Amino acid sequence: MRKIAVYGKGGIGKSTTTANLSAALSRMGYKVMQIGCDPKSDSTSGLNGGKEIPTVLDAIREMPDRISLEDIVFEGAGGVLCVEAGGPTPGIGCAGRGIITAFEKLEELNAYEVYRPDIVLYDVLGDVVCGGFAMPVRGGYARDVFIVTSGEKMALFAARNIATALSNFKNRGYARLAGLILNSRNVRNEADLVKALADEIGTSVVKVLSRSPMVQQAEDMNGTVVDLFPESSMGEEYMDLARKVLEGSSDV
Amino acid sequence: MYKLTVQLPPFSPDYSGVCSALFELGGLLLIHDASGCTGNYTGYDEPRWYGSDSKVFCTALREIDAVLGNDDKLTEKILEAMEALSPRFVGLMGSPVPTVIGADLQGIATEIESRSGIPAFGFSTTGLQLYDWGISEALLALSRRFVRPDRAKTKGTINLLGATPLDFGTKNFLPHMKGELEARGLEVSACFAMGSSLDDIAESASASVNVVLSAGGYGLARYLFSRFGTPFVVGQPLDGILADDLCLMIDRAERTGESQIPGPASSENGEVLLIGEHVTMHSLARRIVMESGKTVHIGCPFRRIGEISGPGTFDLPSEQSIAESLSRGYGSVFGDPLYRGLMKDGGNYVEIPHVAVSSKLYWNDPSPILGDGLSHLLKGVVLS
Repeated sequence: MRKIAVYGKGGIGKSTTTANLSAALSRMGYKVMQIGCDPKSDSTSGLNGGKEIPTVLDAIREMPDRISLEDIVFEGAGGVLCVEAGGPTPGIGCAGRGIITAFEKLEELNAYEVYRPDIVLYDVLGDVVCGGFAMPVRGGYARDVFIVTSGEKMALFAARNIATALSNFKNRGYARLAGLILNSRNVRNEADLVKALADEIGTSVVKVLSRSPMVQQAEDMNGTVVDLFPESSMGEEYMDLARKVLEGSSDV
Repeated sequence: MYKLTVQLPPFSPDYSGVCSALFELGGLLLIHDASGCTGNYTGYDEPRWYGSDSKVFCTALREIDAVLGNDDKLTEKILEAMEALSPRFVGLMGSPVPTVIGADLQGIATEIESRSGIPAFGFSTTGLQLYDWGISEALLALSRRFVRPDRAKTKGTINLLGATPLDFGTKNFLPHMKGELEARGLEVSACFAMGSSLDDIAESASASVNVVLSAGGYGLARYLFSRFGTPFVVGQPLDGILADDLCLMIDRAERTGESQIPGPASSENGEVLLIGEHVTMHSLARRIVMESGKTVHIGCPFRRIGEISGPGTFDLPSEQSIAESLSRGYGSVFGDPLYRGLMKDGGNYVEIPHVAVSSKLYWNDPSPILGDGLSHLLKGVVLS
């Protein structure tokens, strides 16, 4: 089993990239589970016809002693197994702790043993702001981390912070940084800026994704580029991303 | 709200179980808390604490450390303490605050081990689970790390699994049971984990059979069976009759290589109710059935072992459920003295102190369910 976390600044395109990555890996014949780790709970909507699925924390809130995997794992487009951790009541509670609770519930229900996915993708909110959002990279979870970034200053800043957090935890057996994914925003010198960051933090840019209107078009149609426009050049880019992610990661 | 405790004290929590299981083995034990949890363990859950030189400490977690996630400060303090105390291993336990902020105790332990070279365990205790879970986790961690695999089995040797003062106190309980088995020619290789050293535990794969003394030792028995093929039996030699019975099971396990798990001792209709640690109550139930032929119910406020549960064995997950079970009109009830306060009507009640429930109130008292005393007790109470 391969466990991979996708991090990056909020709004950079992590969920879109991850959903397309899931769809591409599924198209390659892998059984994929995508776990959204963001209180917004919209990581997997592109795989579910634009609908948001019930979250793990919703289930815990509504039926704490009676949850089964069928209540929190849903099969989306291409057979991708979709899970959303969910979040607390807006304005109160603790989102980071919510991620931990959701992960503990998946463990308790033996989700990985029951579904036996080939690849688990964790789509994690923005930055490693607290212990909860580091959960996907702790021992026993993701082994490899890919950071989605553009050449924009704040995206690079967030990417550097995430890389620093991973470096700080190297003695704890946490996940390793496997590379950057450049989700182009057509910023001037974008490729150079991201390459410079990769060099600085000791990693590489595994894939440059073009800025394409097709991505927005697929989102408007509540799907992924890979599922809706598989023959397009953008669809091919995501397929290539899937190949690069497989090359750059390893089984747990 | 159904889990609200009104009359009973809180039962011993998971971190007390971990500490209790590891107390005698030369480790540096740290409860990551502000001090209340450590004080709860040392003051109320550990009869061996006063006068001992065991290395149990509080990490002195402060609000600002929790807010800022000062794990480095904790790591440095632990490494400094290790320098001064030279422990055989480190055990780091969580409490409610680290749980809420998501402290990664396993990760911190991994870091301590990688920097010091000394084995370190992080236990995801929360203070919200019960002691037997902690005992089980501690014994498993200990065995996975320290038990040497390359030891030939020696006939007639056994390990005792799941022995802590939280279930057996520090007086006559464990010595009596050990004595019953030794008197029948068995040699105890290691006792997990009272009265044995870490070196004894390291050599324990040489035992030909493991004896599960409490539910906290059951997970370890299963692990040792899967890892070394050592069969196990479940039961307590409370008196000569039960000791003979247990020795027959040990002999059969040794000869066949198959674990011997006694059948259920409870039945659908119960004239007698036993409340407490499951293996203790299961052994007592067998003895009551042998002595009197009366039917028994077993109520488990703690971990219940499915394999020895009968139709009359049930969980008691709350004070309310304990009170309800006590109101069902049993002829006799056996349990910790504090449960008695939940009985609405009087009746035959035999007090069997359980440290995990009543703490220091009775921990200096000898157990009343051992040896000839048990037979007299049953004749006087159950048969009267």
